[in-house]
Amino acid sequence: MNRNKKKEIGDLIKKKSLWGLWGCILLILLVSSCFLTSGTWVIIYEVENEDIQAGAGFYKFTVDLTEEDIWKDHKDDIDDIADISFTFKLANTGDDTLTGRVYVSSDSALADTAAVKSSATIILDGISVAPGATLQMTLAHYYDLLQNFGTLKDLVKSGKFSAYAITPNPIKMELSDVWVVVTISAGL
Amino acid sequence: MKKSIPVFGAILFLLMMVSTASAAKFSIGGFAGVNIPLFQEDVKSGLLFGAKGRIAVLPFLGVEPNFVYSKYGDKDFDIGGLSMSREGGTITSFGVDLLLMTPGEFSRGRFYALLGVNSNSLKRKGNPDQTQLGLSFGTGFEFLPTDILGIEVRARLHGISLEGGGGRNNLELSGGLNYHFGKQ
Repeated sequence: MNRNKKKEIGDLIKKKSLWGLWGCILLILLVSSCFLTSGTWVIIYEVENEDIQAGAGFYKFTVDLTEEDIWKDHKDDIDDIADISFTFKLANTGDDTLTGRVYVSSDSALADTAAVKSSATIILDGISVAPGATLQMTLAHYYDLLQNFGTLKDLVKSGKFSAYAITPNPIKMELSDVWVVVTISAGL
Repeated sequence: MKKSIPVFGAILFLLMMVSTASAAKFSIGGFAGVNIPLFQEDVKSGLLFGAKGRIAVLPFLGVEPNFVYSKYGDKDFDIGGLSMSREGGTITSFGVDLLLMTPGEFSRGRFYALLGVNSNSLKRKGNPDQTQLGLSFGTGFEFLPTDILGIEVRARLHGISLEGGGGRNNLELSGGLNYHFGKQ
């Protein structure tokens, strides 16, 4: 075998080794890095109007994601709750401007506004509806008012939680068309 | 991001100096394209742009510090018969890719594969900002119509870990121009 032929074979082996090494690195990355094998799924959850209960100075509803197909499909692989939002209609049927807040809690049995304020977590503040008007809370408006995202996220991760809408003063209002949009991050 | 751009510029300048001193080949480039989210129902495709420098430390091996700014497109949801839009958010990424290039069989072009690590700042309205580690790998082709100018296309898979677990994976398709210091 002449020198040129040996050099050609040597170069070929060198090239193949490099590409082989490259392939191994990629394979290791794919197998070892779980975040490379995850995705996000969106659950759009409707709270039926008849499931919204009027309490002592507040409205209350419970969200149970555990019965949703997407949740069931991914419940063992959920890494995180990537995003949560609420949309709803709030009608002010009284004569004064309505200002409201929304709280969330793992406790669905909070009996009055004092209990809600002391043990639940506020997530929306600054809701305002003129007398006789109806507010459609959109996603864009929701994110303008959202606070305590971290606590909300931890609560939603359990799959079940309650929300309480309260006003500083007793006022005539109607809460309806409540939807909860939850984005879960889970393994593929 | 405002602080990072001068740092990135300084790194590029330093690499250019090192490159000149060591006679390694060096290029700088800009690119733009589309950021396609993979397996993500909550965002849509968006635009990206970036800049990079490349040192060819060996004829087949390159090191490429890079900056990429990419957007996710807003996602529209049908919620109770109403169409509502959720902002997609942005990613600002600084990283280094390692390139394995085909040696100079093609006088006017070369293929390469890349593997890299990066730091990514994710911002989205309503979600806390987070800076997370990312990995990237992919492939590209650079065509050299002249000795100093390269036209490049690239497909890069960019995976970013998230603070609470899981991650976001994107396919970045881009095209751009490179300016080479010294003859290829």
